Amino acid sequence: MGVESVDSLEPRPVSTTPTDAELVARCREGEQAAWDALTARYVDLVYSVARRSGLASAYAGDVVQEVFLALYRNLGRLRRAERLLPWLLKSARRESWRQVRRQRAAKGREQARARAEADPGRLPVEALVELEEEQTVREAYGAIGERCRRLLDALFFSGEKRPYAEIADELDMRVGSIGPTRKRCLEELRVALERLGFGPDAGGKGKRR
Amino acid sequence: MSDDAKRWQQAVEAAAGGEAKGDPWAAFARRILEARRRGRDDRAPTRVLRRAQAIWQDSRKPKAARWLKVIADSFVDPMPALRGARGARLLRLEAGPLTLDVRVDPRPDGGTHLHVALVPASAGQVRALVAPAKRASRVQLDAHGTGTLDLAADAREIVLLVVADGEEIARTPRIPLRR
Repeated sequence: MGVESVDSLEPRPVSTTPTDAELVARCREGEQAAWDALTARYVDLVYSVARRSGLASAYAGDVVQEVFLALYRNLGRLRRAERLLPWLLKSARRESWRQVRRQRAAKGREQARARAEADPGRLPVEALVELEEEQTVREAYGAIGERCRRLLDALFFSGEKRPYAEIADELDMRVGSIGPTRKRCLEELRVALERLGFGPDAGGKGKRR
Repeated sequence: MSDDAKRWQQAVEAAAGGEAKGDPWAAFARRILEARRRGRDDRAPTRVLRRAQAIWQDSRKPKAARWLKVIADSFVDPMPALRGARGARLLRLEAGPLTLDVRVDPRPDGGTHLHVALVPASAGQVRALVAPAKRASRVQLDAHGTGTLDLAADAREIVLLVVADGEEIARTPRIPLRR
């Protein structure tokens, strides 16, 4: 079994992913790859909003389509492209609510009654805060390597404690290298979160820049 | 390893093991773990992402496709050989190797009869977008690449699309049907 050098325990530089503002600017210049990157970055977020508004998968897919169509049409008009995340959250929430109302109308319920209800299909603001956190973690995960993602998920995020031997077998790595790799990957994740302005404070809350 | 890195690692391991510590790092680690777990539950299917990415191409088709340029228009410049075609309008449009000839004949009932000829004949099919009704009609082309289409009296202008394998490869500018 080889010995890990001290250097190998240092975090590798986290890949520098383009900011939202950079991607929007590149979209405006007609670069399709920038659009692909933007949609890949936020598709899970928009889909989550729709699903947590109570929509079935197919309808959630429609919400994603409507929201990104609106984004495409507004690319040239977005004044603060760095505020894309709240813009998308707001649009997804509004479009999800529209879908919920459409479904109710289709089911023949009285629209007046639906309006009188206290917006049961509309996501509460607290849920949006959670979704924003999830998006930040998703982006931090996107900035670390695939191997690190798989290892951290297997070690910490699966919800159950798994034996190292099983994880090593699954990831095709030596059992002895799991410990050092785990340290390096956790550090990469911490650095990536920090770059996104997410770190511990008195309440344990992160704040996105 | 920095102090922050050590605290973070200990906090993640404690949070993953369900240990409840009260310091900010422990609370932060718990939030990250919970956010990751929640986020993994609601991942969009690949087809949803593909549809969203396709918005780009779908919205830019007219730019991606070639514009057929008007080479000759008998409304603008009557051609000697065509002067006998009383009342008919003749157009020739080109884009790269494609040539589309269009003859527009007014019908007695106020409608319009279109005759199109696509060269090369195997280049594709022709579809017509009719305004103001925004109807789309397929022009059935024969082996020679020619076909006809009758338009109702309310049709004011058309755009003709050349489609190959389901993809638009060229389109005309708007063609008014009346002078």
